[in-house]
Amino acid sequence: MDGANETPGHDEGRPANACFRCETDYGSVVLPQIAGLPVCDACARFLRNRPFPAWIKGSFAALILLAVLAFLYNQRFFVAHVEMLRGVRELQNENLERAVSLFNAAAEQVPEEPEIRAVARYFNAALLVNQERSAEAIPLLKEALAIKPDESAYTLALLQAEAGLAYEQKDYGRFLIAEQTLAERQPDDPIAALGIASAHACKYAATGEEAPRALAERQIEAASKMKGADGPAFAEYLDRIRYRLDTREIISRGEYLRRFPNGRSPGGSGPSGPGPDGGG
Amino acid sequence: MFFIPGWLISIATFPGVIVHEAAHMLFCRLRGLAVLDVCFFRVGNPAGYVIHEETEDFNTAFLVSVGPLIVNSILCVVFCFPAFVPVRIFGRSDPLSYVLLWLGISIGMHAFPSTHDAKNVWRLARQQARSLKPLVLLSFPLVVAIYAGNFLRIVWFDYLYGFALGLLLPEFLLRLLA
Repeated sequence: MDGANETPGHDEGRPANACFRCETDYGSVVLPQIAGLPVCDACARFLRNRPFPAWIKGSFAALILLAVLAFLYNQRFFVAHVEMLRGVRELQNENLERAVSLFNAAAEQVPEEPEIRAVARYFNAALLVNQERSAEAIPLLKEALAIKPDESAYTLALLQAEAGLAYEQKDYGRFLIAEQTLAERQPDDPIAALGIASAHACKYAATGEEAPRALAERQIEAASKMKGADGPAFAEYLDRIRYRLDTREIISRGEYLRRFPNGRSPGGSGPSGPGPDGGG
Repeated sequence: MFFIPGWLISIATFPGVIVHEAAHMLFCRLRGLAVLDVCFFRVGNPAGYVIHEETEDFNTAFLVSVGPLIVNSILCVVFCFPAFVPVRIFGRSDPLSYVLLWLGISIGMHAFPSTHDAKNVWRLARQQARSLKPLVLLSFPLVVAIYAGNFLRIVWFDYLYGFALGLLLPEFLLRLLA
């Protein structure tokens, strides 16, 4: 509270030219006044430049020092948090590689925070799956799941990595089983439904048998009727499956995008960020 | 909403009262205003006070009155900043961080000048309204905000202000930095 209007009371018994603060009587010398009270020069200087008590200055210095030391002590948490925020921004910009490097750096800053490590491992695994290195992604996802066993995103990513590994090893039977498991877990996801078509298409491309081709077509039809089947990711994935069915050539997503940067269909359905799986 | 006596809140958040009065005194010193008496903290109403000579200089009256808003707000952020990431983001529970958060939020809670402080500014601002000086014009909404802030203390607005300043502003600043 600021008490500008309240002044210390004037002592009626005090001589007229006595300083109200030090009470020195200046006799006939008329003293200047502050707030209507006579005050000598020395006291006026003191009042206009009243020093802060030593305990205030000492406590303030000690607390500022404490805050600085706390900041230095906690600095790595700040660095980790900023790196996580930057990583999320990179994800929004669809720069998964840069995001992974930031998440990994954050996890290294705070090794005692397992959840940060789990997030770093998860996105690192996603990057590896996209690079068709699913075998390397699987242990990372297992580590993330060991930290957060109830995280459904990690469970799904592990299934995707296992599907990716089967695809990379050209084990299309195992690839189909993994995609079917994924689709069962995400019954409303048209891209997961397309995953089954992708596996059937691989089987057709590898064997030339008509049965898997028919199954792929049926699955494409079912997936295309699902809600959300009109996005660019769906269109691009469908394009790749169609290419496989048309040519019986199985190529990676990267190779496909290199050959058809604007898609194969008229009007194009070019790259739409990281694909739903590595190469399948 | 539950009622807690003001004196009890003042005791629980005494660093804020001390900083509030110190801020008034600091601006008195900076503007050469005589400080006749000062109490940084006491159990009573008011919990602290600074008695200084009156001034007809608007800038001086403005700065002395809103000094706590400036100083308490800055110190609230300074003390909460080192602690908010470990506690709020990472859920760490180290005592030093909690002490700093208590300190920062206590200081932030007492940032709002009293209605008595606002009255001084209001009186001079009305006299000088025709000068159209930016600080004079700024003071009108500020005085209204001070009155509103004081009124809303019954719904813990002072605590919310300290909390927002101490915990939300650092997060916002870090997001800008990132």
